[in-house]
Amino acid sequence: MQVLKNNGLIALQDLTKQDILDLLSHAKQFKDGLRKDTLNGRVIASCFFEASTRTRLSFESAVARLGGKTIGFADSGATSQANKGESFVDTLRMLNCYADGLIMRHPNDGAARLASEIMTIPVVNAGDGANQHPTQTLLDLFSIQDSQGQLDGVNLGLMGDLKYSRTIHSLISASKLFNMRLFLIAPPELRIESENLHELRRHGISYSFHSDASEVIDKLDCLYLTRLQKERFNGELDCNYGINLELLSRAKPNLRILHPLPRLDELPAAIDDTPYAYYFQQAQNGVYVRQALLDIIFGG
Amino acid sequence: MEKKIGAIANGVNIDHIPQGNAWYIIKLLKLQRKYPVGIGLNLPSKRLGVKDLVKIENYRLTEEQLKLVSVFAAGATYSEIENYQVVRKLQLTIPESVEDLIICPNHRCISHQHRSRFAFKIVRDKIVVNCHYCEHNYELENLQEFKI
Repeated sequence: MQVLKNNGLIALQDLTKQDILDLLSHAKQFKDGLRKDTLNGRVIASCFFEASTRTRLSFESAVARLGGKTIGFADSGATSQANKGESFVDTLRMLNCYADGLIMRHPNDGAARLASEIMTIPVVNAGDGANQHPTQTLLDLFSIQDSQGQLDGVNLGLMGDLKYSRTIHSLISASKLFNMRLFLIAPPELRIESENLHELRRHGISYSFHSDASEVIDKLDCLYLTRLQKERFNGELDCNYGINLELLSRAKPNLRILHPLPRLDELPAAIDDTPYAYYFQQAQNGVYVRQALLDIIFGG
Repeated sequence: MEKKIGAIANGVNIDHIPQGNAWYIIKLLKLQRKYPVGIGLNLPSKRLGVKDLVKIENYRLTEEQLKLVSVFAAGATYSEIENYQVVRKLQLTIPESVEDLIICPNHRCISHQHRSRFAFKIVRDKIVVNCHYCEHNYELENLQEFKI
């Protein structure tokens, strides 16, 4: 894991398949009770230039569980950058003086890459605009592996905004490494774009299109559901979007439903008490994966 | 090798430009209202079948301009002319990358707050331009703004 040690993580494609498997294996150790104090005496800047409650809290929980302390902000509203016109680059240079590592969320695409070039401390990308959110994809992969016992050969349904969702694009990109069978469930307006399909074909990944989850629910091992971002399209969508208990009556017993949260009507609370619901465990897995990542970066 | 080029006494001649790309070169060099410019479009070419041609009088390209022109005129011949004589001749090739010359079309890209960096690759016989920061891929015709 030399690629991570002392370097941080900007994009998932910076990691090999083996890097990812090693990291997931280490995350499993934390899930099984491993305790370490790798960050004891270290200060980690947790800087969220846009709000992201779940990501920030799970990162800060991971830092605390590793014995570290965090400084930073939950949104950029109270910073000198917002109020005094300080440049982003100057803000980064200042943070470089105060902390041993930076966990950063930023609304602009490529902000984490730029930070990693300007700063000498490790930078972990907690989401840069519509570009990358590598720890989300890592925790999604961990959740698939943890719930199914494997990644290779899993029948994965991806449902929702396949055209614009960063989470979905990133998971599709990762699926190329693990030979998953993809069931792409979306209304025609939100189908995956041809550039991504070309990549799947190039890597020999099997996929099929569906407009309704009922067409494939009995085949799936995991169903990854996302919220529709209504600002992305005009008017009403001509589709039956979302899942319900009746639909799940035809599911395989091992089906697990994943969702990056927050959710809307697509994932009714009635499903929370069924064995299919995995999304809160998925959120909890985010802490273990981030612990594993930080442990490798700062200690190994 | 010395060679007389048309009616240009002093200036540059960019020949064998891929068909349709002459306008990009005029635009990115901001030549529209400054120097005498001769433009040849859709000319017969043994090498390309059809080519474009740009001649600019009393002008020299800087090395940075040359790098950017090479993106739109890969394979073209660039000649500098003095007193009707070719004093410098280059075959243009696509650079691996260019720094701070192209403005990223993605308005959310962080390069707008610092420096841009683009890399070039050939995908299915087309030049694809990749932003180092936002990771977006563009075709040449999607690039509209430049820093030179």
